[in-house]
Amino acid sequence: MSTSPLLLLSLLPRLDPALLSATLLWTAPLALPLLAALLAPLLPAPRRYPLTVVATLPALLFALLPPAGPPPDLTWLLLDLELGVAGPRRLLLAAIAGVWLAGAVAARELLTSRLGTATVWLVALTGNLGVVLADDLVTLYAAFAVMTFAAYPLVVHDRTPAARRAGRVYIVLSVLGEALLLSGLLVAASRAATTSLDGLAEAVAIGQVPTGVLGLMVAGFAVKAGVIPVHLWLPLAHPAAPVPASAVLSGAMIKAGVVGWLSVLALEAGPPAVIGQVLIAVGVVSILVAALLGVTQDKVKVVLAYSSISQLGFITVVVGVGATDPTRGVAAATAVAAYVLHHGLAKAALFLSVSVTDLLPRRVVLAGTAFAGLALAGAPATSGYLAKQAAKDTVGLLPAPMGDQVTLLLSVGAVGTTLLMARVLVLLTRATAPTPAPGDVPPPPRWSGPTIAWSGLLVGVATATFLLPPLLTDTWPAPRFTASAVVAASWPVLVGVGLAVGAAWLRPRIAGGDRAARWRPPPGDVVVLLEAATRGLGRLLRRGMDVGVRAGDRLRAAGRTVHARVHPLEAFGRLDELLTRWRALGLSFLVVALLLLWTLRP
Amino acid sequence: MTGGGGLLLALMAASFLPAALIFPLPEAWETTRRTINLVGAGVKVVLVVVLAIGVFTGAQYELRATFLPGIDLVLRADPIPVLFVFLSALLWFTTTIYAIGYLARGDHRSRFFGFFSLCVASTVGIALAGNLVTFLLFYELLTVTTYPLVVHQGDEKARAAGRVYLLYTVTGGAVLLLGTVWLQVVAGTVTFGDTAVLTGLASEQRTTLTVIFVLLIAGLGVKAALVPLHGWLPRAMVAPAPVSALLHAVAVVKAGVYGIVRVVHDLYGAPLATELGVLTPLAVLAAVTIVYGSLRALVQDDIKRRLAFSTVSQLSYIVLGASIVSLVSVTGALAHLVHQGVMKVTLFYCAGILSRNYGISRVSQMAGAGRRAPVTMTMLTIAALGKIGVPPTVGFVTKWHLGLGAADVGQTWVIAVLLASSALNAAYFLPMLSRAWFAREEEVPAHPRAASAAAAVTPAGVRITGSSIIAKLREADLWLLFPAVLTGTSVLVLGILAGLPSSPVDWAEGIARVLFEGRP
Repeated sequence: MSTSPLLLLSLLPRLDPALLSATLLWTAPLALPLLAALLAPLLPAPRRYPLTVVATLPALLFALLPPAGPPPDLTWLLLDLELGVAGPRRLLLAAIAGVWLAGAVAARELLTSRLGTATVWLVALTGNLGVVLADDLVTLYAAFAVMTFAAYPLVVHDRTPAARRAGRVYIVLSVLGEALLLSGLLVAASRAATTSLDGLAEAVAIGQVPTGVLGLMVAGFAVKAGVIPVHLWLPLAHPAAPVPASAVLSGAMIKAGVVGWLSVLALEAGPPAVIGQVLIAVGVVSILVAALLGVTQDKVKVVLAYSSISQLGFITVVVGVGATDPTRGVAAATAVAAYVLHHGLAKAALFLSVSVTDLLPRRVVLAGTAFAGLALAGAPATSGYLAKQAAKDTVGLLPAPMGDQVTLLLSVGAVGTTLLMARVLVLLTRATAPTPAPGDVPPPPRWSGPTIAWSGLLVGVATATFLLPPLLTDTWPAPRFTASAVVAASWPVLVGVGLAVGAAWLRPRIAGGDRAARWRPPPGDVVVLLEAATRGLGRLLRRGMDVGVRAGDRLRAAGRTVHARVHPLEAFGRLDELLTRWRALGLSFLVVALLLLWTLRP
Repeated sequence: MTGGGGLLLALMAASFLPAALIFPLPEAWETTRRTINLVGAGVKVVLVVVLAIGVFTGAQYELRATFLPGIDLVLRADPIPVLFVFLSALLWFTTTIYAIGYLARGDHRSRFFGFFSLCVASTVGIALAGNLVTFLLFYELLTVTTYPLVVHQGDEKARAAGRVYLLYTVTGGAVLLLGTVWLQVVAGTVTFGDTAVLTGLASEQRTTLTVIFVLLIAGLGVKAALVPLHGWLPRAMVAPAPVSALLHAVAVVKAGVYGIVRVVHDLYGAPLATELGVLTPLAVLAAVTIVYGSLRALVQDDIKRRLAFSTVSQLSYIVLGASIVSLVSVTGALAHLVHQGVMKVTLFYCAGILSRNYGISRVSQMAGAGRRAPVTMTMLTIAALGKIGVPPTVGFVTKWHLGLGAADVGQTWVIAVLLASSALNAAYFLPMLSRAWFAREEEVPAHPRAASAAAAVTPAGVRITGSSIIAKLREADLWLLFPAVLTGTSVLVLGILAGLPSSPVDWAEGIARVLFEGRP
């Protein structure tokens, strides 16, 4: 028998220094944040802030300087844990760790506010990093789930009714998404007869994993990625969460869905093309619909949430293109990783704009926000320019008519992004500066956490996609700055700016313009209908169960009355009495005779 | 008596002796009683560890005595029994500590701890039973010794629950007796693990064997709380928290499912049971129980009652896994024997602390519990997440194995049941946790019954901003807190280290491999 408590002892000699150091190096990006999470509640509140910031660094270092050599055997953790940073994952790790670092720097107030906040922050961080590093299905799912549940306290941190509602919608959708994901994972692991991602890729390549199963997994991750129609939680959760939490939620955590797609779809192995086609369709719809819904909103963080849905739609299209043909896999995965980096930094910067408005001069904040917004729209000389170029080049790999159509739709989407960013700027301008009450606490120092993080992110927005993708991947295409490329990137931005200016000019000048501008769907749009439906369903279920339980009670009560009225022995006596009557006797004789006759049938 | 019988005898003595010593103790001899209890529990843990190491290095332990002519009482340490004994010894140890703290100011403590020891002694007998007759003997003993614990509080509600408990379990015992006697008549004494005997009879005695199987499962199903035989369990939660912990995690319900596992895999054997066509109905029954228990748990306001319905649901994970003929599922089922125990014991420890020290016994009263008792609520949260099956807890390890095994043999409906159950578990645990941790200040009621020690440190409503958790460790007596923290952290640690040799799941896999591929 393989198992023995004694085997634990036999592990000891296996601890040779090389293995030990490899194990420590590889697990450090995950183990150190977890240790910090355990340590945080033991420290006094102010110390939790530097601890959290520092705990993000191992992952960033790991992405920039991964240890040489293959990962050590970690199968004694979880169920055969495997880690890896193959393909675009180094870049993804750097992107996600970078966003978390900036978020932590900006989060002093949040991290020191309540006893457990730093802990859940660090646990969510570990989960998010684990999703990137996981090289087997169980670890992937485990990290994903850990991140999901640890993010809930961040969403409901403010304890307001709105936060509680956002948390409810978030957790319900997440649990359902994870159920879809796990059902797919279980069947996939069974079909592949392994949990390693490489094994899964092989099984996908020879068509052993049914399309429906892959679809379940893709749908499960889609809830996190927040594409339409499973985007419902995003426009509620982002405005409800504290600003730094929104920044990491939008900048890093929703990307876990994308990373999950890349991990299970095995783009280079050639998943069924239909999945790619569905993803392209879903992505295009998300890009356009979310932009339309977003521009009507009147809260900065809601507009930013819809912008994230739109941007994730963009990424979804690229993943979809990669999934339609194995030859496009590498290009798509690299483009997705670069886009994740670009969007993570830009979106985190945009969210932090909300909290630096109190700390920096209005003009500086607006300029920085405009720059991040331009990057998001893909204007030249920003990180967005390169990311969008790689993405569009990938889309251009599609066969002739479709490639051009989708590229055009992406450009239209960039117009939408520009409009959303214009909306953000308008709303930020409108926001009134807080009037310091007399005798109030002195204003916070200008160079505090949020401003440092915000400026750092803006530097990243300007430089990251120029520096990191060539450094961390070997599949990054050389960027082009030709005239046609610059024009292709510029016209959607110009059209968007033109439209925004036009709308602002027209609004007071046409009849009903003001009323039209005030019309807006509720944040989270159809979630309102779903909430009403589930409330009704819940009432129905509860009533149904009450009826069932009451029926059970009545049955028992009836049983007791019968028992009380008809004493068993007495009942036998009465039965006997009945039988002695000749009529009954005759009747029973007849019954017995009939039974006998029936048994004699041929 | 063969080689290692002495160890088994010592193990039984370590369980029975404390009972014999405690019963005559005067009520006031608190220290003596504590010492006897702890020494008994400690010695047992040591003996079980020795036993486990022995079994895994290939030693044979058997204790045999003649009971009736032709019928031997046999105690034997096979791998499955050792897994169960291990679980019960460890959890008994923690529950003893907890019970000492919980009942520090009660009446009839000698009676309580006497029966407490007897109850666990019977569990050891059940675990080690080498044949069905021995099993039945200890199974009935367990019924009798648990009754005084259920009615310990002595009020009318407790006595009513006790009556229901006896009605169900004695009837179940009678049915089990009928099945056992019938099997004895048909096949003679069948040793557990020797499935060849019944397999040999299969061709001529098909119907008889099927009927006996149904009788045995029905008899065991009462304690295993299979729907519709589960009625006693939610009522029995009127008992004090340590008893609930014992009932729900270590002894009574576990004896039922353990019996089912042994009947299916050690008496009939999976091939015969499949051939008789009894496993699919059993799996369906387990699935119905899983969903029904979760649905009922959803609407309970009383915390312990909610937990009780959750037990109904979770136990059937084990039955479900055992009735799917796949190595991976059976591994999951056996591992869940341990996993469910660790999780449920934690939940009841925490529920006990909340009700005893803070007067919180209903879900609707839980607002602010996280702030008032952070350590307790952390442990409760870990265990609840484990029940939902969130990785990396042990609950996930179980769910993964059950689902994977079902997928391996093409029974994908089982995955749907598991996920529905997870979603329902989330639906009844998460609102509890959310209320406890994330309620707003004004929703937190002031509890007059808050224990003085806890209140002195943190009066209700005081923000603990800035303070570290060490200051809060006085939220409950260490007698109560230590067991909860120990089992609560093991919910996580056993999950994270699931791949380590001799983790419960690795152990279970070894056993399942023997069941499916024969002894190496």
